[in-house]
Amino acid sequence: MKLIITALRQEARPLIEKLGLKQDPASRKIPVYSSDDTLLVITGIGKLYAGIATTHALHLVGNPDDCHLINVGMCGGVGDRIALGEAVAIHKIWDHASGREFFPDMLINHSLQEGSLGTFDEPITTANRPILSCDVVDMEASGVFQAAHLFLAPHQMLFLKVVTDYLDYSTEDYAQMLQYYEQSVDDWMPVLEQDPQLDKPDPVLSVGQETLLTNISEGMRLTETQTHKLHDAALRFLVRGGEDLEIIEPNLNVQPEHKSLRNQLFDSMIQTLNQ
Amino acid sequence: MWHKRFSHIYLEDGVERYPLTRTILGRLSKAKVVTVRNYKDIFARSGQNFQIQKRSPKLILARKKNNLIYEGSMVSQDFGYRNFYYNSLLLNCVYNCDYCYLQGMYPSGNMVVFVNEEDFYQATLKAIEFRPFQEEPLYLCISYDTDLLAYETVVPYATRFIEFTRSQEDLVIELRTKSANWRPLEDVIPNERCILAWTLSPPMVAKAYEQLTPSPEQRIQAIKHCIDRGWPVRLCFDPVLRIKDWEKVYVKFFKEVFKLLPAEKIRDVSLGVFRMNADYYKRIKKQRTDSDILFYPFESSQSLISYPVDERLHMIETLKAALVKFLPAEKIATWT
Repeated sequence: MKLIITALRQEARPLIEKLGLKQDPASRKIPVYSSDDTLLVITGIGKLYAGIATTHALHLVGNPDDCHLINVGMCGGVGDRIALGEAVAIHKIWDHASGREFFPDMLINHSLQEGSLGTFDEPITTANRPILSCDVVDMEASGVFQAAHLFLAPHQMLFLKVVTDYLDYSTEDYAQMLQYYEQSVDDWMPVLEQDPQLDKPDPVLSVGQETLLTNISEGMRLTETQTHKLHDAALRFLVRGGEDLEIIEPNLNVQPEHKSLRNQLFDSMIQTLNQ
Repeated sequence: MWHKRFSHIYLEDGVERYPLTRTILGRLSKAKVVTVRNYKDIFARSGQNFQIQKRSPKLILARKKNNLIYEGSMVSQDFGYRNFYYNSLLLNCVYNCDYCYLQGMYPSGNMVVFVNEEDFYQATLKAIEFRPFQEEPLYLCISYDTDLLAYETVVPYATRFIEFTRSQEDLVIELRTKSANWRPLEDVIPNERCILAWTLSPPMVAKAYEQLTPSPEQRIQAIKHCIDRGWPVRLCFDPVLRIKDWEKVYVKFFKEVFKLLPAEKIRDVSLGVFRMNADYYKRIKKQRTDSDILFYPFESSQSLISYPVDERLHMIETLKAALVKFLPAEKIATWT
C-alpha cells in the first residue's frame, strides 16, 4: 500500500486526479482519499497536525509492513542551488525546534536532485530566517518522519519536496508558487509511482499450515511453550527444505489421555521435524 | 532500481579534519555527502532492515571515542596467545554471508569507518605496555567485525596497521579476510608478526551462503601468492556448516586446498563449527527466513547457539582427522 501525505488540499489535488483517488466519507476531520493500492491524507499545516494525520493514516492502512510512505509538498529553497519548480528527494530532515536529525534510507535510485531539509514551526522568510545549513525548508516533514518511524522502517519512507519560493514571498505570489508545484508533478510522478517491493519474503508457513499447527496444538492440549516449540520446529523444517507438514498430520486427531503420553507424542513430533 | 553501493557517505561532525576522511572522500568522489551530528543517529536508528540495506549500503565516517580495543571473546580462538585482544576499525563488512553474526550484532547494514586511526594506534601502544602477560606479545585481531582487506582500495587500514606493527616488537596482529585482493599487499614487506588469515569454505558452501565473496579458487590463488612472498598464512575452516554430506564435502575440499597450497608453509589452521551469540541469532531469525543453515535445530548453551554437542564433537573430530593428513595436529586449533 502506498501512503501519500500532503499538508494542503492544493498539493493533494493533482495527485487525487492522476491516481483516480476517491474521498473516504467516513474520515471527516482528516481528509482521506484512496484507491485499491493508495491512500492519501491531507494533514493541515505544521508538524503536529502532520504527525497526527500520519498516525491516523497508518492506523487506516492496518499492516505497516506492506506500506510505503511518501510525503509530498511545496517547500522554500534556502539558496538558488535548486531551481523553482524543481523536486528534491530529501536525505536528511532537521527539526529546528528540537535540533534533532532524521534520516530516511536512500536505497532506490531516482533521477531527482537530493538535499537536506529543515522543518520549522513557523513560516520562514528572508525577514526572520536564521542562518541555515539545509537546502530547503518546510513545516511538516519532521512530524511525518517521527510519527511514521513508530510504525515503519526508514527504508519505507520517501520525502519529496518541490521548491516553490526562495523565502521571499507574499500572499500575492501564492498562485505562482502553486503553479510551480503543479507543473513539476510530471517530473516526480514516476518516482512516486515506483513500486518499491523491496523483496519482502512471503511467509514461510501458509495459512493452511498455521491452521494445522493450531489444530494439533489444541487437539493435543499442548502447553504454550510446547505450541511455540512446535511452531518453531515446523518453521525450521520448512526453511531447511521440507516440502510440507504432512509428516506431522497423523497427530491432527490425536487426543492423548494423560500428560506423559502427550509429552511423548510431542517429543516425537519435534524429533520428526528436526531430522 | 537500487542506488549503487556506497552512493552516499554520511560524515559525522568533526571528522573532516582526519587525513583518512580525505583519502576516502577522494576515492569515492561521486558519492553524495551528507553531514550527521553523531554517527549513531544514522547507524543506530530503530527499525532498520539489515538485509534490505545490504542491497545498497552506505558509508558512515565517524570518530570512535571509546573502546578502541577489546579483550578477545570466548567465541573466538586465541591460538595460545594469552594477551588476546581485538579492535573494530570498521563496523560491518562488504560481504554478506548467511551465517555472519554481524547481521544480528549491528542494527544497520550500513558500514562505519572510524577515521581517527592515530587513536587506535595509541590505544594499542597502551595495551602493549599494560598487557597482563609481559613475557608474551599482545595478540590483536584487527579484522573481526569486518573484512579490512576486502575494502582496502577505499579504506587503506590493513596496510597501515601492518606498517604500524612493524615498529612494535611486542605486537602480533591477525588480519582475517575472504578477499582475493592481494594487490594492496604487493608493496608491503612481509612481516612474521602479521598473520594473514583466510576463511575458506568448500565451493558449494561459498556459492550458496557467502554472498559477494570471491570464489574459494580465487582466494586460494591470493593465498598462494602471499605464501610465495613470505607472509605467514593461517587457514580458517570456520565456520564449518552441517550441510548435506558435510563430511564428504569438507574432506574433499581439504584435499583440493592442500593440492594447491604447500601445507608445510601454512602457519596454522583454525577449525570450528558454526556458532553464534544467542541474542544475535534471535534477531537474525526475526528478519530472515531465506537461509536453511540458520534454521537447524540448534542447541543453546552459555549464551551461544550451535549444533548439538555430540554432533559438533563428531564434526570436529572427523575433520581434524582429515586435516592431520596434511598438517601436524599442533598446528590445528579447534573450536567445539
